[in-house]
Amino acid sequence: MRGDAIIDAERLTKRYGEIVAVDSVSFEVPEGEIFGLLGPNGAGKTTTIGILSCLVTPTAGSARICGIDVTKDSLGVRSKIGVVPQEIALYPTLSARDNLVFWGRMYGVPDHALKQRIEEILETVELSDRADSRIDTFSGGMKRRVNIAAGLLHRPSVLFLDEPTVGIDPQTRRSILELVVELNDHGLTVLYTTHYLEEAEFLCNRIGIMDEGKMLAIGTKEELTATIGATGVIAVSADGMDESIVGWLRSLDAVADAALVESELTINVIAGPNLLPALVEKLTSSGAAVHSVDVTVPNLESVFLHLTGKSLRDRDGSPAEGEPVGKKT
Amino acid sequence: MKKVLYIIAHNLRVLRSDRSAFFWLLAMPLVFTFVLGIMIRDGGGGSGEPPRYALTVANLDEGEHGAALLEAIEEADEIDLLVVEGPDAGAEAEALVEDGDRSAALVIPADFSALLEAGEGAALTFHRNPERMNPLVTRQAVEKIVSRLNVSALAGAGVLEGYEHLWGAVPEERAPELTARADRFVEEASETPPLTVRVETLGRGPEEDAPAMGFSHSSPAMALMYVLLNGLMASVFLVTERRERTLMRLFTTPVRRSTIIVANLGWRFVVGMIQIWFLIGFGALVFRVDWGDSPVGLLAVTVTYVAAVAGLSVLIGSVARTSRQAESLSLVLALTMCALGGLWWPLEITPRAYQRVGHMIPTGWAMDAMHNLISRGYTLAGVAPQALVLAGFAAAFTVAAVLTFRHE
Ligand SMILES: Nc1ncnc2c1ncn2[C@@H]1O[C@H](COP(=O)(O)OP(=O)(O)OP(=O)(O)O)[C@@H](O)[C@H]1O
Ligand SMILES: [Mg+2]
Repeated sequence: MRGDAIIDAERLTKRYGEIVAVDSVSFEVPEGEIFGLLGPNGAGKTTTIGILSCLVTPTAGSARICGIDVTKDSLGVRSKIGVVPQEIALYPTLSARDNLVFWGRMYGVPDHALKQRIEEILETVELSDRADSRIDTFSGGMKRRVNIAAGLLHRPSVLFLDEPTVGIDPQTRRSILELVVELNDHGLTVLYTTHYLEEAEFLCNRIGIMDEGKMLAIGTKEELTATIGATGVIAVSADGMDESIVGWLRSLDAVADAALVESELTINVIAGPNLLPALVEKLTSSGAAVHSVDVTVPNLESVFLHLTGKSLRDRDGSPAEGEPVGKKT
Repeated sequence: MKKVLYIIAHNLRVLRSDRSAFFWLLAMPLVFTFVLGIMIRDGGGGSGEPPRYALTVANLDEGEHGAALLEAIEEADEIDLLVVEGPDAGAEAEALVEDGDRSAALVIPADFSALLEAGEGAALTFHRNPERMNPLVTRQAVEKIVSRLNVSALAGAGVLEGYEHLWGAVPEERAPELTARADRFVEEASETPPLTVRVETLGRGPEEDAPAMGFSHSSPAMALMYVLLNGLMASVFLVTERRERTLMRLFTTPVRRSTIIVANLGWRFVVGMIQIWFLIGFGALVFRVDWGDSPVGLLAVTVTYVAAVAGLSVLIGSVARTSRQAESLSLVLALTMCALGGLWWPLEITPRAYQRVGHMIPTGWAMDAMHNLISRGYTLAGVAPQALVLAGFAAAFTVAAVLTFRHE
């Protein structure tokens, strides 16, 4: 596989003094894939993208993009990649078109082709009618789309999208995810980082799960969920739970993992005797006020719980439960 | 490199999208050129009277020439005269200057008249206290008077000699009349004495051209000041580009680091050059400033000065962590350099220690060069030392900027 991988990262490590931002991370992405880097804040996703786009010099390890070493030929690598930063990296006082002209030129798109490319890309991100408005008059979602467009002008072999849906409404979120799918359908390889597991599940062919700089597991959603040995997931929403309930659950044979984040309790359940009656009994006797109990099949949340003992859902930021993220074509 | 030009053009576009930029770059300096020009036309007092410079004179000569010189000095409007008399007058005048009570003293030696009558040259001694303001100006005023007397004496001698040549020895009773006539001739001839030019350099010209004199300091000074102030303030753009991540994004495109740095220096240089030449042009057309006879010299000075400002601007932008830091650092540095470099008042009138500090920073050298061009009529060779020093500053700032330049 080494030969045809577009992204090939080998034991990448980046230290900032005491902090190990990326710790011996290896993965490969073949052409045409959407590969997801899933992990909570500070997992090392942005740093990994930084190394792959030659912004950050790795402390150890090596990486190749289209066979070009990131530490040896940064200009060569940069002409192959499109990078969409986590932040809106645009000039707010210039129009969308002027921004795209500038970034296109920086990517070395020849002047005679640039105008046409910009029209096409504005069409793709559905902003043709606002092309000549200043960026600072745009909504958050529109800015996000121009931010992505700026990374596509030179028709890169691989696109790095670093949390492109942070802080935007569900509708814009969906349109961005659909855009990524569309681009991928046209053959673009995508490295997509997120801490929303729904996005990773919906978009990515394969997913790498990161936490605290380490790559914990890589695989398709099915491969990953198969590794945890659980057959079901119980999600309890209740007030008045404490860590003692987690301790009790972990002592049970039927429980693979359990984690409590605020009023959300997540349990990976191994096939066997039905846990539910005993759980409800335990919760009510401990005085917890149960709002809901959901039983589902294992998902990436269960995998993350299994791998780290923590819940991936942070206290805010995560999209609302059950929010559909789109329809995979 | 094409991308350097693209980035420069792009930054000019970003600058143009900020409507207040025009005001700060072009309108403000003109307002201040006008105000400062009017202020220093009147010697700062605003009273309409020319400034007066303190001079102490000790006349040890008892003859007529000493008296004539003293009289001429008394008549000079610009000199605020103190005459010390008595046998120890010379030592007394020297002591006054040495203690700093008076800034300058002129001693007319005892044999002054005798030497002149014998047809030999006589030397006047000019004592000055460099720690005090003004001695240079005072000396120039004295030189002006002395030179007029010199011309007068020569012309007088010439008339007498001509009479002798035509009609033989001058009769005793005709001598005063002839001398007076020669004096009148000289008087007329010296309406425009040769050395008045040097006195003009300090901003006090002949009455009829007085306003331009004020502007011939204020126009270059305000041009230098605003190019510096706006140029350093442009450091904020670099901090903003880092904060808004556009600089980081630029580093993910196939553009060399060196290209990005050169372009960052480049657009600041272009804006600075447009600004300074706009102000020079406006000074020439509206304030009637004579920028000297050496456009090449002026070009050399502006190029090196603006390059130094651009280098310092990128350096500040690289070192500062926040916009606010860049702003206050720029403001403090710019204003300090204006004051110390003689942009607000000529360095020539400041104490020696002050002048020394002024020549540790670019502004002092740039202002020197401007005075050399405008007032002293120097050519390229005359401002080459200043231009070289400014180029040195530009190189040093640029190296420091390259070393500290970062995208996050
Ligand atoms: N320039 C830096 N200097 C010091 N520490 C850094 C630097 N960049 C990143 N880190 C640290 O490295 C770790 C990983 O950061 P990184 O930004 O890669 O995480 P992330 O997965 O992108 O997180 P997020 O979801 O919040 O964007 C964090 O602990 C962060 O504080
Ligand atoms: Mg990140």
